[in-house]
Amino acid sequence: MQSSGVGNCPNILAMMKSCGFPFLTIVTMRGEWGEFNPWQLPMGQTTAPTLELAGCAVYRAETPEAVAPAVEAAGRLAFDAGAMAAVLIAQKLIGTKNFKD
Amino acid sequence: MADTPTLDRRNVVARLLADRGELLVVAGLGAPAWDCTAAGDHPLTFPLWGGMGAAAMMGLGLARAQPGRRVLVITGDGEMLMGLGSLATIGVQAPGNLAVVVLDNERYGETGMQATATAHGVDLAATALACRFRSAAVVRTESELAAALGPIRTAPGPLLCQVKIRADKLALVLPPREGAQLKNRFREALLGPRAFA
Repeated sequence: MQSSGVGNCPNILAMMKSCGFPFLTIVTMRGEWGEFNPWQLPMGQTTAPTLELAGCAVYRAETPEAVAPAVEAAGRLAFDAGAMAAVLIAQKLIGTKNFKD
Repeated sequence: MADTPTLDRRNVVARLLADRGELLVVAGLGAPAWDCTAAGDHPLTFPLWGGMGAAAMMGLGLARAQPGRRVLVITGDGEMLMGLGSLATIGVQAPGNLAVVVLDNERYGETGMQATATAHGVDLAATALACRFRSAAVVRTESELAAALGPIRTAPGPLLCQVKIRADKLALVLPPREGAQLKNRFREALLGPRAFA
């Protein structure tokens, strides 16, 4: 999902925590690097703390090479340890949307 | 609106769960979870104590993970309305083993019986059909309920049955409320020793 979508999730994340459900999410970031749309800023800048407050381990990938190891490590947390884990794909990595093309 | 509903929710749920066999059940939070518990607490019923709007999606996940088992979600109109987008996701995923029963008293029962959108004519069965459910119906009478019980257990899904029930406030019959315990007992009953492998 996108970082703004994390803002729609806390009540369900609370259920994950209450029940000890494993959880893995991969989040593409907005609102953190050269963002054009001000409505993306509040959630983009609180995505990591929101997930951490919900009990998720949060890994960040800033470069293409960092993505696969981060997803693999987070996957182990979810599938092997039964934990909650998130990988944030930095906006700097996916490219800032320019709203021109 | 239509005539005042006459069906009793506890009776409806008791019949939905009678001789349940291998049925896997997700009970939406609030009164539907109490109704399921009144029908007999069971390790293969997962009663939700929170996560409003998520019952149908939990059913979808379970149906996909256990394609050989029938999955029945029993939830309320307010809970279903909060997760209306899940009907589109279920319709597209099209799990043949998933049935959703909405106990529709047209009220938010846990917060003071405020009217929901179904009280103003929103038709969840029609919504489900528009979302590509295989079948959906509104049940208002005893004979319609009797006719729906078989298909809810065996007809190809996804299926949604919107059962209009009386807006009664009934005695609470609470299931266990520790989430990890509910999850673990469900997994153990379903998977046996593999649950903890």
